[in-house]
Amino acid sequence: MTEETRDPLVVVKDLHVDFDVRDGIVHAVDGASFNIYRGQTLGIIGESGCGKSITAKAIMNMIPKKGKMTGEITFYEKAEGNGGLVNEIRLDQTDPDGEVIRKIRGGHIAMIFQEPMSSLTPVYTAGFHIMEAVHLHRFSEKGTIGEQMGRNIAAKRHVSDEEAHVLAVDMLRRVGIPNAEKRINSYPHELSGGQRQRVMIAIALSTHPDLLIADEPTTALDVSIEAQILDLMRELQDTANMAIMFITHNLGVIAEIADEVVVMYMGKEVERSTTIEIFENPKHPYTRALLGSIPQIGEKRDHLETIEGMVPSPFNLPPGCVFHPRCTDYMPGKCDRVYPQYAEVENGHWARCLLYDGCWPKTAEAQAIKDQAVSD
Amino acid sequence: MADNETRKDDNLILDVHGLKKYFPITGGVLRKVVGYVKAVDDVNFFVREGETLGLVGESGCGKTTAGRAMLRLYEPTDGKIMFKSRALSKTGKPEWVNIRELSKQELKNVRQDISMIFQDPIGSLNPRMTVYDIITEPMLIHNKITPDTEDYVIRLLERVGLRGEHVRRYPHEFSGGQRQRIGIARSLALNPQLIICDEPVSALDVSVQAQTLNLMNDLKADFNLAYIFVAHDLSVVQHISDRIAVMYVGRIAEVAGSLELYNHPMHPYTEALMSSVPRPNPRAKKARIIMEGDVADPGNPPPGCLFHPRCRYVQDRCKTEIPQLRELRPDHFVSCHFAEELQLTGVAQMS
Repeated sequence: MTEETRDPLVVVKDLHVDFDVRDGIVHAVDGASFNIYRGQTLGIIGESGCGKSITAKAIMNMIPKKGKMTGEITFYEKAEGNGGLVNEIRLDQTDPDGEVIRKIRGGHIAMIFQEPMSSLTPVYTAGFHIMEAVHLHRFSEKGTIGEQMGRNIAAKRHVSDEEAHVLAVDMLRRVGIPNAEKRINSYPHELSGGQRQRVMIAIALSTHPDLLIADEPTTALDVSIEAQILDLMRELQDTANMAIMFITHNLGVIAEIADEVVVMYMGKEVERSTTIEIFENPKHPYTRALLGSIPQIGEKRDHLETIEGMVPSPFNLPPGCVFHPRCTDYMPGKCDRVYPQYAEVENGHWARCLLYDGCWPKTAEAQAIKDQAVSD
Repeated sequence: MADNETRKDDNLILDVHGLKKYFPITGGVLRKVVGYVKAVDDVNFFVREGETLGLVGESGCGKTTAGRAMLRLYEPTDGKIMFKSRALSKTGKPEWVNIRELSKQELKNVRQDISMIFQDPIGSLNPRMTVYDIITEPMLIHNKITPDTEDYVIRLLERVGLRGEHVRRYPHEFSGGQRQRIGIARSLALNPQLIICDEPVSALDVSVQAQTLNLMNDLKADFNLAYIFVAHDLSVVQHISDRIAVMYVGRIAEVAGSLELYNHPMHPYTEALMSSVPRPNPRAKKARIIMEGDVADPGNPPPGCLFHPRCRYVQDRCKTEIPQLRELRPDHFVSCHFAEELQLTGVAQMS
């Protein structure tokens, strides 16, 4: 799809999230900018601690109290029957406990968490969990008192218990749980891991969200269940034009589901492009190394490529490019002194690496280092 | 494999026959045993010297239980675990022993030959012990401490990619990948012949995982180790293993060389499992076989072939008769009634 025909849903601009802890300030997210479009899947990959989950929480405005968020997150709400008008809501400026964001959370933007075991309350049934979301965010579609008036009233009236029950059973059936009428009364401990995760997905999808944020939704599951869940998400995306933000460290899953991929390292966005570009023409050395370090099924190699060293401490980040101590393309005198900018290095392909001219900052100091290196 | 006592052609190190581990289900006020969870049920496999055998399957398939039963960390219910032990031999030449029949003292001794690497690099290291204490603990138990031990530990640490001066540090000072290296160093301390690795890399990040897998491969060559590599990540298992045993609800579905298994699976479960693995290639054709339903409950297994409720090729015979593990090609064992007739698709044919 071309840039013009894509319909932005959430636009994140220069997002920063800092945590002030005893040992110093952690830049959990340090300058992330990306768009999520309607009906498309944005994959976010990175190793643990790279800030991918915090980015998702920032969109939901659920940053823990200690955190400080700056930057812009705009949500484009398309209200039904509003003449196609689009409301712009600045999610970063909403009150985290306020009315506005609570309507959006779980309603317009739903989230699936990694841990299906701890995300469900053990004392409530699967059906209760789903109906809770439905009650809060779904409105009755029945018009009773005359067409026009009925619609007006319906738009204000939350669904009744019976309607919620029907919706919940229907949702459970759609996520592939057998015997949905019975299973609706099951408690979480009576369900298997895969079924619990499917209940989570049913909760998230029961409100017909515009955006589904899936934070490692299949990491705890077996491949056979994972395949079922990915298929289900894709199917629902096709029928409801839902956007998905898919966070994972599993490159195989990303290749299957994402249209566009953002690669993060130490809170920084280091590369973004279409999935095919990322896999076939990776620009950043980190992305290349990640791709080389995963064993591929049906292929035998003696050695995997590795990324030397380990993720640096967030309190003691290396100067210049944060990846330079582990980088195979490290340019001494440059990468350890200049912090690369995030720039479009090819059409639609963004990267943050000094190998590309566009990423050099336009300051006199940086230019001097660059010229000096050339003359050497 | 079940019938012939030992395979004559090979230099085997471990030969498992009819291994069973049933966990009782108790019920009622008197905690009477009302049934059994057949976590491992009639499992046969063998490991050759210097070879890695991967043990894969979905969660609850009994792969961890099978791995632990090798060391009698779980007391097996039935079966034979033949192991060629150096530690128990009086002549210096490795001798075959049945681990199930060993006395307590003999069992302790045989554990010099078989060690273990655990999944959780944080939970498996005592936070109050230094690296030195952790690595020398097995040596202490077996009275192997000598004046040279410190040098030995430092060499061992350097071999697994840590620095010798880290020997007095505590586990919390290390990252997850480094902690797993400490666990690997500990497992090597007594110079074992066989290491049972229970999901050794699944808690690690992708880049660290690659380092650890490379290290394990190098060590295997250096020390002539055999591994039993228990994991759920099929691409990792395929990478590290020479042969793979696929388990389903306590039974072995198929055993074959790792590339053979991926290219020419002969069990429908293997075929479906392989096809479900997401591959890091956005252009790959999505020919996934979706298995309907959930894994069978090992406490209440279906009759006949355990996989038949989810199998695409199910026939009447599958519903009544339990298939036996048969060697259909050299080194390729399958437990499926119709393995010869089915034309299954390997990963290679899918892309």
